[in-house]
This record gives sequence, structure tokens and C-alpha cells, in this order.
Amino acid sequence: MKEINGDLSYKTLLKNQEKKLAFNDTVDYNTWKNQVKDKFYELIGIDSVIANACPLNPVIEEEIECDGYKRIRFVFESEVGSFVPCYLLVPNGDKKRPVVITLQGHTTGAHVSLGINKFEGDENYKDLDFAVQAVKNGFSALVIEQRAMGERATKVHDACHLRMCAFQAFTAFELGRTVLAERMWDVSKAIDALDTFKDVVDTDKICITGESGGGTMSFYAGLYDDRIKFAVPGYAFCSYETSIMAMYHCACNIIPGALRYFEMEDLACLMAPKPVAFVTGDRDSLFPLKGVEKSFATVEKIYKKAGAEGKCRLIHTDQPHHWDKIYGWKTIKEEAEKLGWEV
Amino acid sequence: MIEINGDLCHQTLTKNLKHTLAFNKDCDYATWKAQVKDKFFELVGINSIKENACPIVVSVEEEVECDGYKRIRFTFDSEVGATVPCYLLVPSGEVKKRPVAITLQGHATGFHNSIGVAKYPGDEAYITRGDFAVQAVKQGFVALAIEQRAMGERKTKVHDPDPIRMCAFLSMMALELGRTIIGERMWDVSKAIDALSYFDKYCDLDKILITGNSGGGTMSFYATCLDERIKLSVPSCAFCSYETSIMNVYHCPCNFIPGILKYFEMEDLSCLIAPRPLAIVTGGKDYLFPLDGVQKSYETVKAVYGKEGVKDNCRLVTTEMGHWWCKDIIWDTVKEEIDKLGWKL
Repeated sequence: MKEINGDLSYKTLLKNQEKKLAFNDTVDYNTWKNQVKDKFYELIGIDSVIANACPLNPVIEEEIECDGYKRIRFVFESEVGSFVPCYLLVPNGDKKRPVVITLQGHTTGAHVSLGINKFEGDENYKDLDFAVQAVKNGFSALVIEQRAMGERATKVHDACHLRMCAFQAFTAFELGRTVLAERMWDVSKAIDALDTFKDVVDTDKICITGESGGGTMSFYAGLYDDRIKFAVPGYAFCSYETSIMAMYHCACNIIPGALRYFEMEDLACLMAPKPVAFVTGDRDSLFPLKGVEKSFATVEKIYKKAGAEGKCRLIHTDQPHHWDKIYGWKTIKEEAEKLGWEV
Repeated sequence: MIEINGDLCHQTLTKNLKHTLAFNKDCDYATWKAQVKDKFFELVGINSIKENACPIVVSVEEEVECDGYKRIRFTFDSEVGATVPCYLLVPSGEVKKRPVAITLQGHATGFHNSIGVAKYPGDEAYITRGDFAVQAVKQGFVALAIEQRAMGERKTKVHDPDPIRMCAFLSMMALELGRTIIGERMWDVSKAIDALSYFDKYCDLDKILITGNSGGGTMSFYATCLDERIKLSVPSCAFCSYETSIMNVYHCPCNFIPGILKYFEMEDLSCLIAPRPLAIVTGGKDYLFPLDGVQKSYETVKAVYGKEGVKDNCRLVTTEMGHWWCKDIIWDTVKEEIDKLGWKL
């Protein structure tokens, strides 16, 4: 009897499919970059999100004095019906600090960034209090609850936090958009909303970081909004072929049709010439090192073509799929220093 | 504090989104139908699948004499790398061409249930009503059971999925590649009909119907949209507006067609089945495909069939059950429909 392998068809396609907009050394760089930009925005459905935009009307809901910083909760509406809970952590003192946008991945929510335990098991998250870490390293921190996560998880069914994004990821597809575009948009609108706090934080100096699903969005939001001056995506950057197409990842990673046109590394042209430092776990089974290194080799070529050689880095950590706070913050501070930011 | 409702944005969009190719009674019907067809095939990625097509080579793997019928297992490749296991159940007795009933499982453990074979815990109880192909052959049809993409024998081995979500991984792979599982499953049914010519001494290829429950009902609907050789479609517990079903209740990823709501709703696609008869079976208490949504969608189906000039060729049959294959009601419905078509069993 013939062996039935339900995975064979997509694996064959994956191997053979020509990517029409893949980078090559002979491209006319600007023409190619514009084609990638147009196609990427089309595939993620950003127009559908833009068409539904509305006034942000940020509302400050809470201000709490913590150990060495003030924590402000505010909420704004990024598009009709989409309320975004945020926290801004402002270190004590008169100095306006650069802002690190910190994003959680598939944890129980943005409260983890604040070092707050809300649900059973939160106490087991290690080193994921990104915003508190940012403050300790001399930055202000902006925490955004990502679409379909934490407080914004669906209530249509009882989703476990590892798959909490699935329902909204799929309803987004049906509507001709993606959760990925929605999250990019939310970050960009959160930067608009920061205007409310321009007297206490330095809104000209913004960078972004996060781990896993937060690292993914550090990459995509970083390439979307030029007010983000550098990006440090953690444990997320890798060719689709060796990560999301090779093992079961979340639905919120998927961009319908992407592989007909490009791989993740090709999108680095939308980030260049802005500095980007990918932090990767050498033992990360979800984003395997081999795939990361191959993809990064293309990023280096793209940055060279963009005249920004040396502005992209790959930082190895001896970790599995887990944020290394020492190397993470060392990298962020090095990038900030290169730009002359004082922290 | 502002109430945070993560579902509100998509709910509002779903309610307000204008479907640019929705049916309206004043449309130029033929033009509209052609537009719906092109857009639907584009959205499900049928062209991407066609590009990967390959010759159909039927390989018969097993013939087993059963009680009142012969069961033939065969496989073929519907596209490169996609091997489709099938069973053909042929009534015993005179060898002659008979009408064909294609039967499709939904999110059961696999198509072995259709042939009345229990392989996994729970199958035993399910096959008392879920042995669709055995039911069909006992009615006098030649029954074709197809293992659907990402189900049963064809489920992914990349991870160990539970039966309810076994389709998720391969659905996402299909999307990233610019196609959909719905497109792939439509294609597989169509290629299985091609493969039936290998068995033409048993099969009357001018008399083909399709039925199935839940995910099998969904594909009974869509496969009929693609392949005009299917002359009767009887989807059970599957037809409903997207708005009230998959956008409103947590359904499987294999139901989704990126961008479709910008253009139309499920009921608008009935123009691709008309004028062929469509008998929709629905559970009056089916919370996955709620009755009010089904009834509202069916009103549009009636209007579409009216515009096609065949208003009596569509039916809505409501059972008193939930999300449940009601075999007596379904086979009674099938028999009534084939009588109208003049098919003899």
C-alpha cells in the first residue's frame, strides 16, 4: 500500500515554490524594495485596517508610584472597536528618557511585562518583566497589550494562552486582513498616543524589543514605523521555511500568500538602513539556528545593498526559546549608544 | 475603566463590511455569476493548485467482499505529493453502472468511519450513524469515500494534533503558500471523479451526488461549486452565513478563505451550484451553524435560484437535532431529489 503522508504536498511546494520577489544581488534595489513594500502591505491587509481608523482619544486610567518609577495605565482606540491597553513606565527624576516599546509573546498578557502576576503560573515566567528591566537599564518603557492576547484575548471561547490568538487570527483572514497588520498598526498608533506624554519621555528616541511573538512584532512594527529608530527582535527572526512552516506555530504568524513572493529575511529591506539586532537562542527549537543564520546572511546582503553595512547584527545567546536579559539589554544599550542616546 | 473586548473590532467589521459581490435581485445575473466564480476561485487559490497538478494514476490496493457490497481501496495523486486514499463501495449482484454517492466525513477521526470500520476509541459509537458510505451502498448507490486533506490518514505528522483541530497546521501551511485547504479539498473531489472513470463499469458518471456532515457538508457545498459533474448536493450541518457561524463561534481553521467577506457571503456562492439541485440539511438546535443564520442565508439561496429560473431546485430541510447527521432524513431527502432527476437505483 502506498504510504500516505499528508505533509508531503506542502513540503514539496515549500521546496519548489519560486518566490517572485526574493532578494538577489542584481536587483535594482529601490525598485525591488518598493515592490516588496507594496506586496507586503497588500498581503497583510493594512489598507483594511487604515480604512477603519478613528481618533485615538487616549484616556489615562491609573497612575501608580512604584520602586524608582511611575506606572501609568492608558487606553486608546487604534481603530473602530479596538481598544488598546498600555502601560508607560517613567523612571523617577526630571530627565526625559528614551522609550523602549516592549512586547510580550504568547504569555498570559502584557501584565507579565510589568512583573505583575495575575494568573496561576505567572510566577513561573522568568525574566519576562521586560518593562521593569527597561526602567532598570535607564529607559522609559511602553507596554502594549497585543491584539488577541491577554486582556484582548477572545471571549468567544475559552482559549488557552498558547493558542489564544487563533480565533481572531482566522476571523482577521476572513475579513481580508491579518492580526500581524493589526498589531503593527496598534504599535504605530501607540506611538501617536505617546504624544500625550511627550513632557515626561523622549518621543524622538524610540526603539522596540520583545521575545517570541513579541520579537516577531518588534521586527514587523520596526519596519513599518520610522519613528522606531532601531529594533531588537528576540527569538523570532527566522526563515518561514524552517520555523512556522516546519513545526506547529501560532496562527498569528501567518501571512496568506507570503511564500509566493518572499521570505521573512527579504522584508529586512523595509527595515534598512535602520539598525536591527536580532537576538537568537542557539538552542531555540522553534526558530532553529540553522534557519536563522541562513536568513541573516540575506539580511547582511540587503543591508550592504542599502548602504548600511554593519547596521544589522545577529546576537547569539546560549538559550533555548527564552529571553536572555543580560545579552538582551547589553545589545539594546549598545544600539542606543551608537545613536548617541543617553540612558 | 474602559471595557476591553478583544472581539469587538472584528464583530463590528463583520457587521458593517460591504460585500462588493453580494447578490442583489437587480443584478445582471450571468455577469454577476461569472464575477463570483472568478473571485471565489482566486480566493481559494485554485490556480495555485492547478499549477501543481499531475496525471491521475489509479492504484487499486485492496478488494474486500463485505455484506452486500464489495469494498475497493484505491489511491491516486491529485497533485504532486498529495496522495488521496479512497474507498469505493459497489453493491453486490449484477455488474452495472449505478448512480454514485460521494460521502465526506467532517472532523471525525477519518474516512474509515464512512466504511463502518472503527480504528480509534469512540469510532465504535460514532459509526452507528457515521458510516455514510455503507448507508449509501445499502440505498443502492455506488459509494465513494474520500479521505479529505488534513484529516484521518492525511493528517499532519509534524505534530500530534487532537482530532478536533487536526486540520489547523496544514490549513496554515496552505494559507502561507497562497492557497486554502478548501481549494485543495475541492480539487481532490474533482480529481476523485476523474479517477472514477477507472471504475466505469460500476459508476454512472452522469449521475453523481455528494453529501457529508459538518466539515463533510462544507465540502459537499464547495466541491459542487467547482465540479459541474456533481448533479446533486446535500450538505448537512454546514451551510450558514459566515457571519453567524465561523465568525461568531470557534470553528476549525479549514473553514477560512482569506478576504472572502470583502466580496460575498456563503449564500451568494449558491449561484455556482444553480441550476443543479441543492438540498441543505440543517440541525434546528445546531449551535455551530445557528438556525437563524441558516434561514437568513437560505432566503438568499432561494432568490438566487429564482433568478436562475429554477426556484424549486433548492430546499432547506430542518431536523430537530443539533450538529448531527440524521441518516433517515438525509437519505429520504436524497431519494426524493433523485426521483425528481429520474435516477433509478
